Amino acid sequence: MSQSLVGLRDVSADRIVSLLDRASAYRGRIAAGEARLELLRGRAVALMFFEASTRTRFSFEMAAHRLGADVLSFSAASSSTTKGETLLDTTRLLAAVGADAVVIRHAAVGVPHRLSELLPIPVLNAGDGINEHPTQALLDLLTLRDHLGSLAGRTVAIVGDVRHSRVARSNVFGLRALGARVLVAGPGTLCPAGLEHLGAEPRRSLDDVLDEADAVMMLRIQRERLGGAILPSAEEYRRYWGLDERRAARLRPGAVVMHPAPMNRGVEIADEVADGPSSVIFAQMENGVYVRMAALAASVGVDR
Amino acid sequence: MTRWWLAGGRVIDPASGVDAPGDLFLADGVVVSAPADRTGFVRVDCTDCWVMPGFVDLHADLADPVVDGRAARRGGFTTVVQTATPSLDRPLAVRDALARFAGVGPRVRLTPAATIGLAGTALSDLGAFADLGVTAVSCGRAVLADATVLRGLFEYASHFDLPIWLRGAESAFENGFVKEGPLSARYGLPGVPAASEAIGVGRIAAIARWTGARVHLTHIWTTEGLDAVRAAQGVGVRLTASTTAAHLALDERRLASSGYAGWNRVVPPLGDEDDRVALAAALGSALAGVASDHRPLPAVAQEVELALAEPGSVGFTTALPLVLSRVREPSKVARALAVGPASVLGDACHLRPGAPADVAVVDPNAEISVIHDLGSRSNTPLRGETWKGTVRWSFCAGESLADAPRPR
Repeated sequence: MSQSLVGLRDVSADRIVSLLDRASAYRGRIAAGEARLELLRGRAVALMFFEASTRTRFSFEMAAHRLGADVLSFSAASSSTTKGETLLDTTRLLAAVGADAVVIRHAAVGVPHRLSELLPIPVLNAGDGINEHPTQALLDLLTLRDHLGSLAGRTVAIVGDVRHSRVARSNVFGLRALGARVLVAGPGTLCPAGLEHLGAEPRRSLDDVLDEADAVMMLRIQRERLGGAILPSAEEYRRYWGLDERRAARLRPGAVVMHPAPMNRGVEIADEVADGPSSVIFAQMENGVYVRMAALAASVGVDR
Repeated sequence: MTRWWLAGGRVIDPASGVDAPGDLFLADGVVVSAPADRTGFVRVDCTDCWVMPGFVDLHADLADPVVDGRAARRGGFTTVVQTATPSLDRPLAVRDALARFAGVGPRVRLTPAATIGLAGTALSDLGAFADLGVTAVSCGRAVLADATVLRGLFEYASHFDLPIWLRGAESAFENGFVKEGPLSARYGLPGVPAASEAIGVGRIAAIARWTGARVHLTHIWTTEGLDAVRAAQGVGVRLTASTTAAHLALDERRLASSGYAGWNRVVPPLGDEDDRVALAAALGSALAGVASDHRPLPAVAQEVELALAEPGSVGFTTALPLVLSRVREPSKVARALAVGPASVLGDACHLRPGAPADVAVVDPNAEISVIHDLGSRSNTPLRGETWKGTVRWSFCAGESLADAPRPR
């Protein structure tokens, strides 16, 4: 049975665990020497990126190739409406030319959700505005599971621009579904009221989460947030919210440091921490391919 | 002209203190006393119906005067305030529009654009508008942010005794789809803080108090905005306010639960349940009434990315069922949809002999399928749903919808 993956908001723990198990299995097969799994041979995956992306697009493209699928790739900075047709018109094309699944990134919240109701093929969300980025959260969950084992009862801190982060939102939903405790910390302009309704516990500062966390997920600070009404400066952010060596030393033994990348080295994370022993940032990137293989294969109904 | 005998209904005439079973007679465009001889009167069976003054809409867009005029009449509206559109900003355009709206069914009060192109920077020729017979001007759906222009508009419009229709909002906070709070956090939708309306209403009220201008605020949607309205009215600012049927009655979670469908986009966004309760409670005091906020749009305007979707929905035929879902007492319904809005326009609104024969016959318990009732207009979040309450008959100057004269 085919199934879209538009977000982790209403996804069950069973479905998440089964995707993570599948990703681990694929990883094992590739490590054992299989270059391509050929599970999607003869199938076509359409990648529609309406917003700039390098790593997520490469990661999905590699995942599709490793599954033996054909890839239709489409990038456009602008919306279809500039040509006078509706979003639905544009995407109907995909089903019409024979795509078996569509991966979509769009700056507008809700586009994958809308398409999943309108298209006859599964839709995978590769990031919609500030809303969700479910495959990023899945790769984070897989990485956490690799390092911490079961996430039930574990504590994960998400630090930084929670307000504008689709990574944070998807992670909160996924972590909560798996029984983890989620702390969020960041300046008031980036951690709005209402996060407790998602099941996250707001904390005043980074220093308040270090002693409790089994994992710390540092979020990227967008340059455009600096120097305006949201954040004064990179220097100020580093001082209060940056994870440096001194702060990292306060982490519990075995705790891991994560970042969805690209990193602002020297702002939200110091070089010594990003490249240090507790960092799992590069493992996250690698897991991205396996998780996206799992999501693609599961979405078109491949059982293995 | 047909003479009507509206028989066996419950006559609701709050301005006259009437709520009782009875008959109503219409002849020569006015309400008449019960005649001794009923020959020549067409009997309309109003059993189980409320017979009330025709509805008065404080904010709507009759994009097509004929089609939307009919829709208004089907919804029970006999007077409609046509909102300002950007092109309704020059005397010639206003003169042309006045001609197009004449005789379309409901009585249309045209409110031309108070500023050129509704851009909020330069005043329109308000004096020329007044000479054409216009009785109010409007900023439409736009938010007038510049205090210098607000001040100029209020001072200049007062010279011609023109009230100004406005929406109270802080323009810097307009970029949202839901009220900021749990819903925006959960669904990743940019939110509009509740402070937006309080700031907007406060700014308008302060300038109106100082200049003595008369203003009407449309689209009130938050408890905070209502508080600001009450504060202004409490110190004697000449300020009236209304909400819309959607803001009074619709659940704000529709937008996300519909898969972010564009036709659920409303500006300003829908408030939460506390806001809806506060709005319903304020009807008849701080809020003069409930507008339909009718706005027909082509599908292509909404079948797009949510961020690009034009906000708005058709609303004439759904206004009554939406109000009824929150207000069941018939006299309160009549106040919210007719008497209160008429008072904003300075119109009498009662059913005593001699009053204009503007009447809505409401069946409060009939179930209506919204899709069936829409005619050629279909952009509404309620499509496919069933709601309770419909207008069986409406009369405007004694004309029923069926025998209304065609517009010239």
